[in-house]
Amino acid sequence: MKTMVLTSFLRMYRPQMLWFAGFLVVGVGLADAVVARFTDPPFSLWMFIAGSAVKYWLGVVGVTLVAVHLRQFVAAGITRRDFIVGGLLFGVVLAVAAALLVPVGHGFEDALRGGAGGVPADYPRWSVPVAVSEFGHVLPSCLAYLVAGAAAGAGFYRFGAWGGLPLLIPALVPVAAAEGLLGLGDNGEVLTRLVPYGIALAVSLLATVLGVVLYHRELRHAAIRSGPVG
Amino acid sequence: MISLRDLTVRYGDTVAVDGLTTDLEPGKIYGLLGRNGSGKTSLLSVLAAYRKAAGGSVTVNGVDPFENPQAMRDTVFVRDAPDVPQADRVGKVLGFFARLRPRWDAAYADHLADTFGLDRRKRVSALSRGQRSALGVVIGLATRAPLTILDEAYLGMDAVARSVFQRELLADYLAHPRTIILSTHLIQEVADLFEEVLILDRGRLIVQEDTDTFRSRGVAVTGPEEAVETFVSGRTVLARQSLGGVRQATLYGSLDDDEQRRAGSAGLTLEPVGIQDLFVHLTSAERTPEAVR
Repeated sequence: MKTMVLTSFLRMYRPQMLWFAGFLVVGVGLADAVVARFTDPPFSLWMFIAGSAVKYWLGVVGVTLVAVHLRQFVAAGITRRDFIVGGLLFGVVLAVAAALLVPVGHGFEDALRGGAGGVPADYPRWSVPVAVSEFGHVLPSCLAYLVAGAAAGAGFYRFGAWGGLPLLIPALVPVAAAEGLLGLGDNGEVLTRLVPYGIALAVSLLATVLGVVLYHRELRHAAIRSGPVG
Repeated sequence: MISLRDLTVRYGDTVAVDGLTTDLEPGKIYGLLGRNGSGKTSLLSVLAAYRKAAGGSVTVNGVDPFENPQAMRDTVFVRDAPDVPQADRVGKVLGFFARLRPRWDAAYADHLADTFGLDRRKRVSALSRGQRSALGVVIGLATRAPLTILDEAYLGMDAVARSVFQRELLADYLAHPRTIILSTHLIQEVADLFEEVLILDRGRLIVQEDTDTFRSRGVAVTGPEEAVETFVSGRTVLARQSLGGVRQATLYGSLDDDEQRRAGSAGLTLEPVGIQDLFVHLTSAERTPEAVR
């Protein structure tokens, strides 16, 4: 049933995924073209916009998992456990897709700007190792935002507005860890703060796993409320 | 078989279901009746694994349904508002259940959707109250779950749609026998569908009987005031009404042949009481669940 939950989510979100990626590519592409007409910025517009947008979107998806879909799946005979696991598997697929989109888009931007007569020295040039590094930075952030959104949404769903409020603090720990240790520099290049990348990755993933534990504990005995969904 | 033992459901300090114990045999249509706040939806929510009981136990075919994949797959619970995203179109909603429900009958779902006049392109949020209920009924019946629970599922439907619902429910039940629990306030309309009646009052089960037996328990005795009072003395009187010198007393408890003859010779008229009237009398505010039992 977990696989059915995963495939149902993929089917449900496929149009959204395509629209989101399309808007991002077209929007940033147009913005890049407009900016390039007037100046030759030493930063990557794509990395700033796409690098942030994908993780915020994952956060929103995390919130909607429970608010919109929990009742729907339980009404279709799915256990909370299968919903949690299937939903998180879907989140991982989505996060990987989003984390792939960022370096791929950066590659296109680099090619377009480089092709237009070179780029300023400070522009974060694209290469395969850079792309791998970008993927390695964006993926844990996307996972952190997704899980934080899901845990925050589940807290409010289960305990109401006041009860869910204090749970925001532990729910946002994955985001705090990812944002604190993995981020973007002044020109849109990925960077690791305070500790080496390996440790930053481990801490971020550990915080995300703790977020998953919180999410599970909030939902495992949650009553299915009535009222409009979505 | 559904077995409830000392089942309790609480919301904070409020006890919605209070130590309920009963067994429900499979393959019947049960009518679950009760006033608002009597605990019907709480009880059904526990049966459907929508909620965990605060105390006691519930088993469906020997297992606790809460988080049991098989039990949850074998149960469908339709509430007064279907649990589907408001932004989704009807066609998408039906497709979703078709993929996840193993016994889903797509042809039957199409037939029901057409019968209720549901436009598959419409968003759920754009449906009228009655159409939303119709969507819930389509989901509830086309799922063909061995345990089908319909909780006020036809709220807001017009008379024609309610009639269609009753006809379809009965026809589908006869073609695909299963356990159906129907909770409703429109008792008179659907009473003929029930094979067994359960009445909840303030969280307690006060009646569980097959429908004919329950029906036979209500007798309205009409006649001269004094003769009526003499006849009903020592019996459970649910209600009294007087007009001039004529009195009508509603009795709870069946009368044997001898008693019926005695009533006739005393000039009294005996009439059956409808299930709804019995329900009203049994669950009136001044009557406690203990008094009924």
